Parts: sequence; structure tokens; C-alpha cells
Amino acid sequence: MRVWQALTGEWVITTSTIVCTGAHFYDVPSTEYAPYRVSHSFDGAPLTLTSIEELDLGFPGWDSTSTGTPLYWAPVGATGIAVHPAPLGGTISLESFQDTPVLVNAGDFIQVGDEELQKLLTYAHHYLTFKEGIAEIEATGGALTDLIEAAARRNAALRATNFYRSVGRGKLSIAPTDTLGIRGG
Amino acid sequence: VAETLGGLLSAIQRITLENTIDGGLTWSTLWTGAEVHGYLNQRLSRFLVETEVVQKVSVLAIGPSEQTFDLPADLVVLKRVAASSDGVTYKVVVFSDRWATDAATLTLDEDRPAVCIPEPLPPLRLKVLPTPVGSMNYQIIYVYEPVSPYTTASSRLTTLFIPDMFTPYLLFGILADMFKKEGEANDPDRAKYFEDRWKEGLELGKLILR
Repeated sequence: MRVWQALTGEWVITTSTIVCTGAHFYDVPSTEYAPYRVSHSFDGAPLTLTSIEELDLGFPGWDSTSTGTPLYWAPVGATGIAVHPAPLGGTISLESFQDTPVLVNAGDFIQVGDEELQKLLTYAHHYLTFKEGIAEIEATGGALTDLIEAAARRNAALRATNFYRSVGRGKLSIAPTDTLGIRGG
Repeated sequence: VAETLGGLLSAIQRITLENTIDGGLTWSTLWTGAEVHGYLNQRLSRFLVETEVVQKVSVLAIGPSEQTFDLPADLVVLKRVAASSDGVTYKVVVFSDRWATDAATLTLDEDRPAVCIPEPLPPLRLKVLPTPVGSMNYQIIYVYEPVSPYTTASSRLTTLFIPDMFTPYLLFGILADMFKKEGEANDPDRAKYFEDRWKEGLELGKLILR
């Protein structure tokens, strides 16, 4: 499920709020990563995404004294954000990726569609072959390809990456196959 | 729920068919605990350098006329430096190198330096030019490694500081190193598979910040 989360960003959280103190930089709460939408309580409208470099070029001295209703935000890694102008009050809301839910009890649910659940189960079988040897891993390699293909249907950015293109062209060292393993899965 | 150090090492013990699954405390003769922790620490550092997912902002207060000073001990990659003589108004100090600064005529900007040169020698230091006359605050943004290297004595309950979605890829990187080891543990086919999966994780780590 963590691999699925890394491929798709399936599990997100939208509830966190950060109390503004007039600062330009804020930490993202520890169980959240890489915010992709930021808004301020002034009007709830999403701020415009930019970067630290663009703020430096477009608004020299932006992180000094400029205060007011924030209009722009920039990521500081996956664990922080910068906003401009600096809000003196109110709260900042984030929409971020969250820690992957971990199944513990038999009655726990996986919040994915049936069409994707099968891919996850097949990949879980592929994972279990890691302890056996390369023959088993290769025989179940199709599960990885299927998982990545399914993830790419959910994540347009993934389709632009080199590693996805290498999967699509069959360039992975693992040959795509529909078999579930030489032991019959 | 974020992955713990013990959870990750137990997963490795299961995949490598270790006799004892105990959060990485006990290893057979194929690998030692120190080796596995070495692989773990090296892969973590490489992941941070390649993806830059964990960054923070810090302010360094430097005394008058200091041209060269230490950077924080947890720094991995320096991303941005801004200087302020009054602690309020910051201005970006651009990165440069010795060749460029040798040929340039640099002047202070309201007592703030114009350029900085990350010193290549340990301990990691930063040099600014021209030398400011008064005290200076430097606001830096950097990729950092939040904890000291993990050892066999580290708490098994320690939560890994990278986003939990990337812990499987950290596991793949460690397994690649383990299977590359010369000797009885050597398994080049599986090492190549896990190295490919590790690279997949690096690409996804970079993707999350786009």
C-alpha cells in the first residue's frame, strides 16, 4: 500500500490548520507530506503555487517585512511551506499526502476500488517472492508492471517519468507476464 | 502510521530468510548488524541528496567581520542563503565560486555580503564576500538529516524520518547492497532487481515535489 501511495498519492488529508504568526515559513505537520493545495482563512481561496526561486526573482525581499493576506505559496521540500505576503493572523489550511493507512485487524478496510484491489493483491504476491529468488521474482514481474500501469491511470504526472516510460516500452529487467508465479500462485 | 526502524529491519530479515526476526538485532553469518545499518545510513543519505524531500529553514547568528563560518551539523545540501544585518530585512546571497569571485568587484549591500561560497572542506563551512563589518543573521534553507546515523543500539521504535510511502524503496536500496556483498550472500540478479526498484523510488521522490 505504501508503494501504491508513492505511485498515486491515493491517501490525502485536508483538515490540518496552521496558526499564522506573521512568519513566512511554516512546517507541515509531521504526519503529512508535500502539500499540493494551500489556502488562508481570510477567504479560503487557494494560494498560487510558485517556488522559492521565483519569489526571490519576482519579489526581492519577500521574506522580510511584507505582511498581509497571502497570495503565493512555495514548497520547502515535502515538510515545509513559504507564504507571501506573511499573514499576521488567521490560519493556513493544507491539502497534503498523509501517512499510508496500515491494516492491522481482520475487519479493516482498504479504501480503494475493486479494480485496483486486485492489482494490490497481485503485487503483494510479487512482494512475497522477494525472499525466494530471481526466478520467482521474474515470474511474477507482471504484477509490478500491472500495478504501475494502474497507478499511471490515476496519476498523469507519473506517466511523464522516465521509469514509467521504460515500463511502458517493456524495458524493465522484469518481463511483463500475467502468470502468478511458478508455484501456481 | 509511519514505519519504524525495527519494522523496516524486520522486513529485511524476513526477505533474507534470517532465522530470527527481531527488528534487526540478530543477524546470521551472512551479514553483521553493523553492515546492515551502514547500508541503511548510506541509502538514507543518498535518498535525501537525490530527492531533497526533507528541508528546513534555520537562522545563523554570526559575529562582526566573520567571513567564514560553520554550517549546521545536520546539513546535507545547502539550497538558499539570505543575509540580514538587522534580523528583519533579508536579502538573498547568491552562490558563487572562487574563480568568479576572483574576477569580480564585489561591494556590500547595506552591509550585507553579495555572494557566498560553500567551502568544500569538512567541516562544512560557508564563506561570504565581501566581509560584512557588523554582526549578521543568515537565514538558510537546506536539506537536512534529522538524526544521527542509526546503529545497532538505536531504538527499534524510532520512526524513520522520510515520508512513509518511500520506506519500501529504502528497503529495496538496502537489499540491493546486501545482495551485492561479495561471498555467500552475493546474488547479483536480485541485487539488480532491487537497485532498479530503488531508482524507481528516487524518481517518485523527485516527482512529489513537482
